[in-house]
Amino acid sequence: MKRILAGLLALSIAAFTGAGAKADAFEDILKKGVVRIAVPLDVPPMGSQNEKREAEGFDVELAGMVAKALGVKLELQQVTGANRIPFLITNKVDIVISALGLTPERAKQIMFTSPYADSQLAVFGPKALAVTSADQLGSYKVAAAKGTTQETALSVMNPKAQIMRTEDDATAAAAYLSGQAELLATNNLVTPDLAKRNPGKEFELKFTIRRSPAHMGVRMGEHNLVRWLDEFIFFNMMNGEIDRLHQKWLNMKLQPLPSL
Amino acid sequence: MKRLLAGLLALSIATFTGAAAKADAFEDILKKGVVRIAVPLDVPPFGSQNEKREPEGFDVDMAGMIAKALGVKLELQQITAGNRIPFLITNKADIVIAVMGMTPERARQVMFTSPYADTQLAVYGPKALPVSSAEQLGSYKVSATKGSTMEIDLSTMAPKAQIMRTEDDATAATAYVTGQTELFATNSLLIPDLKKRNPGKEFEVKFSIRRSPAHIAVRMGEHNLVRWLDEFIFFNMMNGEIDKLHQKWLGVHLQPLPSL
Repeated sequence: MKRILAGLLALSIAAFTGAGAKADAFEDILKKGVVRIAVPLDVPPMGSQNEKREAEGFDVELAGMVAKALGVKLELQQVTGANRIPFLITNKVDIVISALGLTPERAKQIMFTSPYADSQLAVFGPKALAVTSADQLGSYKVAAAKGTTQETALSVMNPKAQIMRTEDDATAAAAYLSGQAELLATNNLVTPDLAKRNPGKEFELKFTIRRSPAHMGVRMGEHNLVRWLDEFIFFNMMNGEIDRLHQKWLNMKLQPLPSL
Repeated sequence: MKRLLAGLLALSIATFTGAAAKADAFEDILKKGVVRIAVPLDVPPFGSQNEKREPEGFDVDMAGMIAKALGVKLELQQITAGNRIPFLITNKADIVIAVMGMTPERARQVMFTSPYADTQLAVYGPKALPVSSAEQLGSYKVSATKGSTMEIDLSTMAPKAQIMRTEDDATAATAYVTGQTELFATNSLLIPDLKKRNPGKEFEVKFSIRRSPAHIAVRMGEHNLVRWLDEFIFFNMMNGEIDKLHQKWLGVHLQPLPSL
């Protein structure tokens, strides 16, 4: 009897602990008075370090706005492209704001908010080059990182395009800068920084491959938190703050962005 | 002791039943590797059978895209308008994609995603007829199903309109095709099929009564699943796939559609 009792007691505790594991991240943030937000520091102008080694950028400023609106302390964590999702899943952070694009595949692991930044995958080149659509690429070489959305989508838009497939974005940019490729397919978020670092080179948008907005990410099942973030984004779309961030960091006006 | 035992037993059962009732359909789909999606086979061009008796249509294509994005096997279920909601509630299907319009009344029973297909209630007629608004109906007769949204809205828009009220949509269509009425009020989604079956008759949109988009539905409380579907729809709006479905099945380009 005692054993049964102990077993049942253990079962009850386990069941309750299980329920405890379903704690609500939004409630926890408010209760603890701290929100842990992951941002990149290697993706200017979304996140980087200034000369004083302070974090700055679109995502960094937005993280500050989120903490302020929640009325809690901000704990910034640095992430890279590869560990953005693992950091969330292993509960190292509550929110990821890291120029994250939404895909149905990623959405099987985490939940996305409505978009907060408008970016597009596009083909860039010198002003003088007479290309305004994928059909006009002809024999011009386009550098693009292998396996990225811009590379695969461009191959579909023009199967005959001369694409120089590189290992990563930095190599694609280097190929364009050194003149190995006449054009560069990349995200327009990175071209302001490239233009700043290479004043002798032109980065005119020749044509758009597709829109690819950035979203915040939270852990699967955190519906109160994702809803609050959607409400936060909506509010700051309405009052012009998100447009201000676009002008400050991306040097562009925010175009109407669909919500989720 | 017996009472304590009974109490603990009851507690365990209650807790587990509570936990079981909170089963997550999204997690289940991924775990089982199968998604059950209900589609119509009597509403071309959304769902019908081709000459080989294979299901085809806008909703059938959407179902296939969803299973592929989830990375699971697709189990298609056939439904009619009458059992779309019962199929969900009794757990015969995980998702219903059946050109379903959203109403607050229906949303008391099931949850709706953002819209995925743009359809409208409109008045159709021959190209030559000089009518482009409800005020210009004059003495032209319009056939419309009694009690339908288009009949009620049209009466409000033009209280003096000569509306021939029919028992159902098929009868309203017949009245127009046989010339009993000069105009015909219906849902734009039925037009491609009517055109195919009546090649000698013109079906030009004379004016729109109201927009009536189609939504995907899931069981009440399945927040993870509905969120993933919203993310899936957002992604496929951005990459142009949903526009392609509009062109393929409805013969129109997708106009910007508000999200939920």
